[in-house]
Amino acid sequence: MKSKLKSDNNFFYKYLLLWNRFKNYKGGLIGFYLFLVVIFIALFVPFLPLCDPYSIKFQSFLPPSFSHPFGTDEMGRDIFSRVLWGSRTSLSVGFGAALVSSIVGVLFGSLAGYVGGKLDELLSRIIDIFLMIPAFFLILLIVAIYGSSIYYVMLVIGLTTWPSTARIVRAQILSLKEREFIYAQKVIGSSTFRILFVHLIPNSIQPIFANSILQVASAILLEAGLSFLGLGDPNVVSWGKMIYSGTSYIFTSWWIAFFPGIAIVVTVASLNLIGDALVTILSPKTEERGAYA
Amino acid sequence: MNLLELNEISVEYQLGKNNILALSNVSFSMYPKEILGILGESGSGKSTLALTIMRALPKNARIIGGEVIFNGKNLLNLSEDELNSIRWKEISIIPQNSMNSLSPVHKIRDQLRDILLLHEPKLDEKEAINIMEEKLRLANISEDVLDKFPHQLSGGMRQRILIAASLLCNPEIIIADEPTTGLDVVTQYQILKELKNLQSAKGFSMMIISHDISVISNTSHRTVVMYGGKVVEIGPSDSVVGSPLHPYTRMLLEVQMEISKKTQNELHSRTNFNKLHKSVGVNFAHHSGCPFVQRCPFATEKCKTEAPTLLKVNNDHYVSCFLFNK
Amino acid sequence: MEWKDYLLRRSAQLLLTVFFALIINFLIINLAPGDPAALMAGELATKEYIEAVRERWGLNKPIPERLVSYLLNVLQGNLGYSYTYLQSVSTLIAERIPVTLLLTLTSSIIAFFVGLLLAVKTSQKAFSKVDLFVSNVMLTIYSIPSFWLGLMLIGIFGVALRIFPTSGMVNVRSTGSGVFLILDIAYHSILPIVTLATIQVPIYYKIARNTIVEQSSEDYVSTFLMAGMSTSSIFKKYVLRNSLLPPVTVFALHLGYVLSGAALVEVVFGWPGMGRLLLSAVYSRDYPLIMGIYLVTSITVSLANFFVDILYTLLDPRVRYK
Repeated sequence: MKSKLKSDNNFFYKYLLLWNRFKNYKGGLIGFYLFLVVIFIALFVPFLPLCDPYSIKFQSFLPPSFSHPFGTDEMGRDIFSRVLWGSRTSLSVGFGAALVSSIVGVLFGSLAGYVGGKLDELLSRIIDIFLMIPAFFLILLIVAIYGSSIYYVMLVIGLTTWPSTARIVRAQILSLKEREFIYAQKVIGSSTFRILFVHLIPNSIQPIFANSILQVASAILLEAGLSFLGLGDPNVVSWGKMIYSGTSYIFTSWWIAFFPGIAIVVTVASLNLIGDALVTILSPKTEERGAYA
Repeated sequence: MNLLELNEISVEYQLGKNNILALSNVSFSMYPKEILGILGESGSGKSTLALTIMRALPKNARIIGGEVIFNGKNLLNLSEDELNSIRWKEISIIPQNSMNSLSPVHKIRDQLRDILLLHEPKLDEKEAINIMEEKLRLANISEDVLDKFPHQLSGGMRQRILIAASLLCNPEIIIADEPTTGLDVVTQYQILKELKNLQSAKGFSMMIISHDISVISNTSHRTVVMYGGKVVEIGPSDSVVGSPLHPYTRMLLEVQMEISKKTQNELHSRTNFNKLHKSVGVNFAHHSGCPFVQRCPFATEKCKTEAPTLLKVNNDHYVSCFLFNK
Repeated sequence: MEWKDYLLRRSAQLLLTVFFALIINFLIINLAPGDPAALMAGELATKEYIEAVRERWGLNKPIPERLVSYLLNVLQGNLGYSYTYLQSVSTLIAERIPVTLLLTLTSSIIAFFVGLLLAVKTSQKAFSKVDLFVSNVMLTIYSIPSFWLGLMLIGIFGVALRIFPTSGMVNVRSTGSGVFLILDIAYHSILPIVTLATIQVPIYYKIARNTIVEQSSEDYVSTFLMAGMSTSSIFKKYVLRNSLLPPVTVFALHLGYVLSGAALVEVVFGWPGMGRLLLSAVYSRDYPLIMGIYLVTSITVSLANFFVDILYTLLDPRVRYK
C-alpha cells in the first residue's frame, strides 16, 4: 500500500476526496456556505456601501427601517454596519485564539506523545491541572488584571484552551509512532526534529483540523461573553458589547441587542456545523457504514 | 436425506449507489450428523451465508433469489413467529468471537439467561440456571463464569461461553463462524477437538466456517470451497484436500499446506507465479463469468463471460470449472 | 482490596491538585502588576491602612513566607476580608453558593434528561432525516450565547407577554417569607433555568446519541440479533446500559462548573450568585474576594473530577474488576 508520507499530489488528492465526502453532509454544507458569507463580509466590509460604524450622527433608537435595516442604537449609530464590522473582531479573535491553542497544543501534545516516559507524565499532569481550571473564570481574571487588548484576549483564550488539542495530538502521535514508516526514518538516521515535524505532525493534522474549527466557534462565544461583561477591547466594535448596551433598552428598543446576537448565532453555528461534519467524517466509527459511498 | 438445503441463494448489499453481489447462486446440502466445512477467504461470502441462514442480515442486504429448505420449509418465507420457533431451538450459531461479542457491562449469567428465556420463556430461575450450567460443562468451562464479566475472561473462555450459548436449546444444526479467530494455537486445537467431540456425542450437524484450511481439514467430513460469492468445489474433505480440483483450491493448498512434488511441478509448468500470489484485493462476485478469472492461471476467454456450474467429477466430489468439462 | 488502593491513590491526587490550585491562585494574584498591598487595601485606602494591610497579610515578607501564611490561613477557613462588601469572604461565598446551585444544578439535571430522551428517540433511526435535522438544530442551539438567549427570553416573556418577571431572584417589593418566598423564588427562577437548560441540552444530546449509535454497531448487538432478540429489546436491555456511562461522566464533569457556569445568566437576570460576586470583585479589584472565589471554584472542579473517576470505577465493570 502507498505510504502515507506527505507529498504534493497526495495533498490535493486528499482534500478532493474530503470535499467529496463532505458534500454529503447537508448540515456541514449549510454551515460552509453560511461561513463563506461571513468571511466575505469580514474581508470586504471596508468596501461595502455602509454607514460609518462609529458615527453618531443619526437619531438614536430608530427601529429597523429601509435606511437602517437593523435600526440605530442609543448613541445614534447604525447597527447594521456595526454588526457587519463586528464580524472582523469575532473572526480575528476566534482564529487567533484557535491558532495559539493549536500551536501550543501541537507542541505539548507531540512532545508528550513522542518522548513519552516521565515527560509525558509531567505534561499529562499539567494538562489535567489546566483542564481543572474553570477557563472562563481564569480568562476573566487574567484579562481583568493584566489587560484587555484584542491580542491579549486572543492569547489568553488560546492559552486556556490548548489542552484539548494537546490530547488529540498526543493520541495520534502515540498511535503513529509505532508504524513502520517512522521506524524506517529512525533507521536511516533522521533527527527527532525531522521525524516530528516532517512526518508525525503533518499526518496528525486531520483530527486537529476538525477540532480547531470547533475551537474557533467556542473562542468567538468566549469573546462575546467577555465583551458583554465589559472586559473586551474597548477600541473595537464587538457583538458582545453591543448586546450589553442593548440590555438596558430591551423593553423599548429590542433591536439593539437582537441583531448582534443573531450575528453571533449565525457565525458560531456555521462553524459548529462545519466542524461537526468534519469530526464525523474523520472518525470512522461515527460514520454510517454504507450510507455515503 | 438432507437436513438443510440451499438452492441458488443470491444475496446483494447496497453500499451507497452500488449494489454488491455477496452470494451468487449458492447451492449445497447439509446431511444429518455431519460436520460441513465452509472454506473461503474474506469477501468470499461465507459470513453472509451464515447470516442468511439465521435470517439476521443487516438492513442494507437483500436476498434476491433462492431458498433455504429446512425440515421441508423454506426459511426465507417464514413469518417472524415461525422463525422464532426455529431459531436457536433448531438452528443456532456460535458467532465470531471478539472483545465485544458479549455485552461488556452485563454478567454472563444475565446474558445467557436472556438468550435462553427468549426461546423457553416458561422456565423458572432454577431450571434456567441448571440448563446454563449443564451447557457450560458441555463446553468444558467452569460454572464460575456465570458471575463474571466478559473482560475478566480469556479469549478461549469467551469462545466456550459462546459455544455453550449455542447449545442452550439443543439445536439440530450449529453454525460455527470462525471458531478459532484470535486464539493461540494450543487453544485453537483444544476448541476444535471439543467441538468435534460435542458433535459426535450429541449428534447435531455442524457448519464450520473458516478461512484456515487446517481448521476445516481437521474437523469437517465434507468441505464446501467458496470464492467470490460462488461455490467452486464441494466434496468429502479428504478428497478436496487430498486431490483438489479447482485452481483456487489448489492455490490455497499450495500456500497453506505442503503438497506432493508431482503436483507442484505440474502447477509450476503451467503457471505465472506473479498472478497466483497477487495480493488479495476485495473480490466481489461478478454477475457474469467465473469469479476467479482474474487470478486463475488457466483462465480463458470463455471464463470471463460464462459462469461454470457444479459438475460431478467423482463420487460426491463436485467442481465448478471449465477445465473439467469433458 | 484493589479498589481501596485506587481510592487512596486518587484521594492523594485530589489533595495534590487542590494544593496546586491554591498555589496557582496565589501566584496569579501576587504576580500581578502593581503593589499587592495597595491593591488589596483598595483604592480609597490611606497610606497607614496600606501599611497595616501589608503587615496583616505579611506582604512585606518574601513570597515563600507569604505563601505559607496564606496556606495556613486557608486551612483555618480564613479566606480573607472583602473590603468592598465589608464582610468576610467565606461568609459572602457561603451566602451565594446556594443561589448559584439552584440555577446550575436544576438546569443541568433537566438538560441531562431532556437530552437523553431526545437522543433515545432519534438515535434508533440513526442518520434518518429526523435524526440529522435534530442534530443540526442541536448544534445551532449550542451556538447561542447564553446571555443573549436570556435577554431574548426576558424580552419575549417578560416584556411582550408579561408572563414572567424580568429580573431579580425575588420580587423586591414583597415581604413574604416561608412558602411564599419559595414560590416567589421559583417563579423568578423559571426563565434563568430555562435559559441555562436550553444551552446545555445539546451537549447531553450529542454525547448520548453518538454513544448509542456507536454501541448499536457493536458485536454483541449482532450476537443477540442472531439469537433472535428483537431490536427494541436489545436496545432497551443492552445498548442503553452500555451507553449510559459517557453521558453520566459528562454530567459529573459539568458539576465541576456548577459554581462558575451561570455567571453570564446571573448577570442578565440579576441573581445574586457566585458569578456576579466574582464579576463585582473583578471590577473593583477586590483581591481577597477574587482569590477566595477562585479557590472555591477550583476545589469544586477538582472534586467533580475526583467524583467522576470514582463513579467510573463503580459503574464500569471493566474498570472495577481488574
